[in-house]
Amino acid sequence: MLSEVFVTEMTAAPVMCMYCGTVTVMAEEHLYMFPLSPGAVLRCGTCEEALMVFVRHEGRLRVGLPGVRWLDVAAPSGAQP
Amino acid sequence: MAFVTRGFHGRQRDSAEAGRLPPGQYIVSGFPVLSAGPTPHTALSKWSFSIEGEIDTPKRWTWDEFQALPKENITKDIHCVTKWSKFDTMWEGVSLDTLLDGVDTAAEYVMAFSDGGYTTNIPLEDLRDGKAWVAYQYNGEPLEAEHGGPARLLVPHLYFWKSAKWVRGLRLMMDDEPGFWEMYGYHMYGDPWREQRYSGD
Ligand SMILES: [Zn+2]
Repeated sequence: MLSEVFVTEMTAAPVMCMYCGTVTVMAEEHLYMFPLSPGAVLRCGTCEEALMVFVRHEGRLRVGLPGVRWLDVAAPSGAQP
Repeated sequence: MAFVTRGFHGRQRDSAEAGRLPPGQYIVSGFPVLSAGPTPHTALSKWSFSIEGEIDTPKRWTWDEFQALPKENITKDIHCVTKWSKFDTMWEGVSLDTLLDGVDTAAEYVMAFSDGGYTTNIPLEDLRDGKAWVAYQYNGEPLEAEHGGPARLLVPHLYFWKSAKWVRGLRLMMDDEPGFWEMYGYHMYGDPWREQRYSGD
């Protein structure tokens, strides 16, 4: 269900909280206001700070990262940093 | 528009509703719960309401002091940016006119702040002249935590995200600054009659 809204890699992306260091995997249990609202919030599973904020508008998804130390996604095949 | 309620008065009621329903909204009879975070449960003994920022002497009320302020009964229509509207919601609370009485400030905006870290920005003039309250009762009962209790801001002429749940105070500001949702593109003002959902609307 999440993958209908977020790009596939992002739905399984571990995210580190910049406040407490917990690594949370993006899942509905940590998402607030999804899917009823144009905005949604991903919160840390430990300290409940806002990690990511999503706002959908006119076919765009704005992704805010107010509490993210890092986000871990699959690299595109063949890509070298 | 699957949730539009129809009364027994047919057209008359429909036309009355049409004039009360902002564009893009539908009517609900229930009270949907939408929260940007977990519900805080602040003990009343630890609760206070503050007015701070651009003010020489900040103001602060404990829960008991707040309850002793003059209260008002309020019946208003409310409009959520998620497109539901609810008519004739009944509240009890303290007018912002009472709370701002005697406040001498050059500020033109406020940032409402809440338990749980939520914030939202509102022009100061939108809180004066009988347009805004801090409400602690809904339908004659203490306001439930899921709906913002013990107390929430009530600014019914703006989209309901401006009516901050679990409100604990106002910070008076010289300039407009974005609150929690406004930071990510929600409209800075949020007039439901002009469909100001997003910045640029
Ligand atoms: Zn955390």
